[in-house]
Amino acid sequence: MNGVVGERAAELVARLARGGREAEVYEKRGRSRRIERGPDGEVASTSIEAGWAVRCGDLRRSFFASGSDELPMDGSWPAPTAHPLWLPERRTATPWTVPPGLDAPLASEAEARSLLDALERELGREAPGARLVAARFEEGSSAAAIASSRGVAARVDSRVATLRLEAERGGVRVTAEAPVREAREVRPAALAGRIADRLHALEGSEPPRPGPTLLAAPLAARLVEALAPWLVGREAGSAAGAVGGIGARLGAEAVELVDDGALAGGLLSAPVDGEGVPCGPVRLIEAGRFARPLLAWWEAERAEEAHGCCRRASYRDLPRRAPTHLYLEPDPESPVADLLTGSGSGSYLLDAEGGVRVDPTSGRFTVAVSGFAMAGGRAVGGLGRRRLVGDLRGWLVGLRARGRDLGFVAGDGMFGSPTLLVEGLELPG
Amino acid sequence: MASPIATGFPGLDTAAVARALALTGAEAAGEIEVTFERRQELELPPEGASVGARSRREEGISARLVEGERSWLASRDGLSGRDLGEVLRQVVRVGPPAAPEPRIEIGASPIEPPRSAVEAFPGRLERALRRRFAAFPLRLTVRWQRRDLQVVGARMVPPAEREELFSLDVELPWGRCGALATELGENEAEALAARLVARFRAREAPPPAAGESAVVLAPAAAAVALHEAVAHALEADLLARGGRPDASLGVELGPASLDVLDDPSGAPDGVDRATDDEGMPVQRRWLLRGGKVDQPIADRSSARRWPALLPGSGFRSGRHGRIRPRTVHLELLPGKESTEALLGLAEGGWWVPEIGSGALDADSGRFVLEAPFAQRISGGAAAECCGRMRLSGRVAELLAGVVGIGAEAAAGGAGWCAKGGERRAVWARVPAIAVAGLEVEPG
Repeated sequence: MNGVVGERAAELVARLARGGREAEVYEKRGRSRRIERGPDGEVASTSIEAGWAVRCGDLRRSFFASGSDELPMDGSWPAPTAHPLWLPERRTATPWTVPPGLDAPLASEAEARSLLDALERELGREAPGARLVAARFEEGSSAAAIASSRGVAARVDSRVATLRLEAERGGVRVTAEAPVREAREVRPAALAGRIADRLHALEGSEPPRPGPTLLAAPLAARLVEALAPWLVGREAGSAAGAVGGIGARLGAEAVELVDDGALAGGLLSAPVDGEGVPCGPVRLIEAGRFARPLLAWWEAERAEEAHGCCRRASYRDLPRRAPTHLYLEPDPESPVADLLTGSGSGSYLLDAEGGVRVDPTSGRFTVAVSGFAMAGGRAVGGLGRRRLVGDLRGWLVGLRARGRDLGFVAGDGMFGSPTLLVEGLELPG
Repeated sequence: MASPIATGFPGLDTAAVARALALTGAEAAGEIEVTFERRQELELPPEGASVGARSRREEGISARLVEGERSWLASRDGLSGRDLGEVLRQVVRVGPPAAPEPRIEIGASPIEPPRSAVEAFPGRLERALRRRFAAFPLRLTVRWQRRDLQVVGARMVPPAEREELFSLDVELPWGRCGALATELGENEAEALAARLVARFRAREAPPPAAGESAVVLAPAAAAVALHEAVAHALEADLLARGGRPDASLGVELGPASLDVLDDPSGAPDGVDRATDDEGMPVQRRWLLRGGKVDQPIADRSSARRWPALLPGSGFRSGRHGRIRPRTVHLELLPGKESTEALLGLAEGGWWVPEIGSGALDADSGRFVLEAPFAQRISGGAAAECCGRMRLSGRVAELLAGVVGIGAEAAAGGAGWCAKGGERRAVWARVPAIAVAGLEVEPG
């Protein structure tokens, strides 16, 4: 795929599309490096993946085929079955700036090992007595090309690195993740500091103080992630949808929730999605009300207005509709320090200490959290391991203020939020 | 199954590969091996889905060098001599070697997917449902998949292995239902139909009351529970998170009647294994013998580090994945109790026919099992249904709470295990068990 986007792909599309069929060819090349440390030793790995996928057919019959290595120009394709195929029309992508660092080489094994060493040292400084139980640094880059009989011809480059750490002190464990573009963006001291704060908070036994709850960005982003499935697909927008349909109040006036596949600086940012549909911002919650669900081009009323939101996990996988960068907009005028001092009495919650569990019937959620009791705008002691309980449909209604920080966590896409000051959440134990 | 013993690598000269390994000189410092892999999948999506029959074929090579507590892996999608040369250079970490590029020539895989069995299954299921006078909306996905594997070491060349299975995934308005099988015919359609109808009938049942309760886990449910509470709990890498894995040897975890084994060679035909993904012969491994830990699940790395452990259980999802100690086929030796007797031991508790998913927190030893429904045990029989149920507790409590073991074991797929984010099908042959004192709450 050097130079010209998918010359062979375009040729194969032309061959497959004879006789009035639709055809799409996707090619992907990627390389990744990973280094893992744990109680059972250290593993350093590199992998190079290369593969392709073909969708072909018409509105009555179609097939999908994928394979590794070179695109087979004379492949023996599976017999189609009675399932329809529809492909998006070509549309011009909006101008998109290539993120810096996309072409930088992957970290070498020695560099990756140095990074884990530095984290171990910094953790020792920030949290005396703590140890890294396990650490994993993973970095990958890829280039993909799409061509179709509908005129789509696009190329997408991507690059993501993830650091995952498990630290322990006195039987208390925390897991931290840092998604970044490349290794040099990791700040070992800052990451170790955040782990130390969470260990300290979990070791405490201070009871929660009455008052509002300050949710740090990583925790608030996990709640955005939990909300995501309720906002995706045509069924989410109907009155019978889980969040009450279009127009339902989901938050305070200031709440604006956006998904943007082309978000500037976003780790998954790309000009087009996995089907070649141009990406861009979609405002799902406006002024606190559910404005529209996230829809793929094939389920939108006007396909030409839909933004790309179909990602491919690999060449083996079909495009799947999902958020790319789903985030609550921050308040650029509001430093986090002001939220802290202004919160008075209450709780300052740092992070989720496990997954968010949601009752799909009631919308109630519960998540284990770490944090501090607050009095007079200052932290007065760790809360220990607590459960945060709330209502997914209503937790943003109690939003009182947003910070100007915006942090993202990785899941099935990237989920983001600033620090939030919220009323109405419970910390039962 | 189609071609159950055909090799997926016609023409592969394993001696030439072993010579290429020897030329790296790496075995002087550690152990080096190469894995050739081919995968095929045929998927029939639900009616109305966009894009029809889905065929996936891929192949590739990985190499691994283990030196002490460190290991290096390299993998790529391709089966050429050049691919082999590159992964070897990557794991031995030197520049281009003086040795010539290995020459290997592998023919195309002769394995063809059993398309007719896959395409016939939706109709079989529909007829089986009709025989039960049931009709409800469902979306069925049928998959066949095959993985061929050839491990080559510098000093050993184990036989080629293959795993060939079918998986069924049903989306219902009230949840998902999955199944694994090595055959796909009338029996599988009848078994799946029975499960779907049971879920249909329980769809509006009230949730169970929260509290401590006795339960009887049917064989399918017991398989998942033991997978979480015994197999994962006794995997060497997870044991190492809390200290030395060999310190667990001899620890009493359950009653003397509890004998649990992991035996990949005893898995159903088509997914049974003679060697693991490291090329080591698999073991008929007693995990618990008379309720005591006998032999944790270990791969070669953990056995080298803790010599009391036996290798033979190193598995991974594919060539790009990491080999870890993993369970493949769990067995609980049958006891003496009839199903009626087990129900009698749990009067007032719950009969749990199946468990949809489970998880173990290896650090705390707490497990969580999610059941799509259950039935109240009343008068020594399974009576009215309740809705989704969550069972939880600690491993030690579950095993110590086993008060009865059924006399008849059932074999089958236990589900997909996603340890370390790498999915593998797991299998089991277990009877029903009665357990006292589990925490029950609405799911």
